Amino acid sequence: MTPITLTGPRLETERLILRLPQASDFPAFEAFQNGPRAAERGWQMDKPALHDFWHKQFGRWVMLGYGWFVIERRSDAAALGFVGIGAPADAPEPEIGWTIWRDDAVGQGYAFEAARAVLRFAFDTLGLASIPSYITADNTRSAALAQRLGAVRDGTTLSGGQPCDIWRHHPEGAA
Amino acid sequence: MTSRSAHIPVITTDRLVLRLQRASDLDPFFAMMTPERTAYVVGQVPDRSIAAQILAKNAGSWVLRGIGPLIWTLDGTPIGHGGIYWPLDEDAPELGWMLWNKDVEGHGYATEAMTALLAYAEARMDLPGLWAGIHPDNAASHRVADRIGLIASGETGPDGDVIYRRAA
Repeated sequence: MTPITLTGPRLETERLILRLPQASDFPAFEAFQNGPRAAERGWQMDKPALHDFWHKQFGRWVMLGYGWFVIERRSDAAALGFVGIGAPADAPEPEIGWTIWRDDAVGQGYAFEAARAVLRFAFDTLGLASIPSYITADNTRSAALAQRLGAVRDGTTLSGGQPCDIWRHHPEGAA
Repeated sequence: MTSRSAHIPVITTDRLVLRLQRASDLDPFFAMMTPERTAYVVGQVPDRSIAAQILAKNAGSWVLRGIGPLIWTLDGTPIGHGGIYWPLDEDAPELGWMLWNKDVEGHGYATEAMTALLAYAEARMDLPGLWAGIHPDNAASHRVADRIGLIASGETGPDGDVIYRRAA
């Protein structure tokens, strides 16, 4: 196997580095996907679907110039989760989203810190006028984070087959 | 700020340019997915978002495996796609190809593209268990398999496909 290193943007924050995914991140991602927090959200996938999803994350960067960053902690280089711009199958436009893979990294403000950097990337580098987050109504934790980031409610949509609230981020409202 | 990886090849053959899938391929890729074109290959017409995800997944293969399928263009127009499909959860690489409309059949384009892709891959990596599965009625693809050096192995796939392997 001769994987290629994908090059692209790298964003830095106080405690985190947001970089493109690499093949070695897969075990951490897979462990989260097979764990209870992914099950709670209805994000479980069988093995082929999980691999399909993983391949797509790389392909989106290659084809579109945006995608999911892996959140890497500066202090120990641990891969903590995904943050970035995704394109759910049935959603009307790309969204900003976040997932913390490791239980011990939840509740420490990492997703907020990472998402804020990606919002700046979306507005300043990609030049987007606004960007939604699609969040299921029962995911109160993510909805609270969207609000902290300055997003406002903007209707509902289907995303990944689930009815979701649209939380819309604008450059002027960004935290 | 974003630089695309420079390691994904653009392969030029006598008549074709084989290159990575890009966002502008989605419209023609989805448009060609009629029941007639996909009958032997996918079995059904995917919706547009699934088509987009297929393209993205195929592009990702180049990053994770260093090999994958490419879009085949003739004078700048996409006319087909194919190459080596080897997702990380599959043990053996699979060859697959597809021409996008009737007008480009019968000119040897698939043979030309797949010969070049195979040469590219085999010069760079082992392809253990390389195989292709072809619908029994798909006469055109059986001819391509023959011309690019595959032989029917006598095996039948779970969906009834004829399994081809690399000639020894």
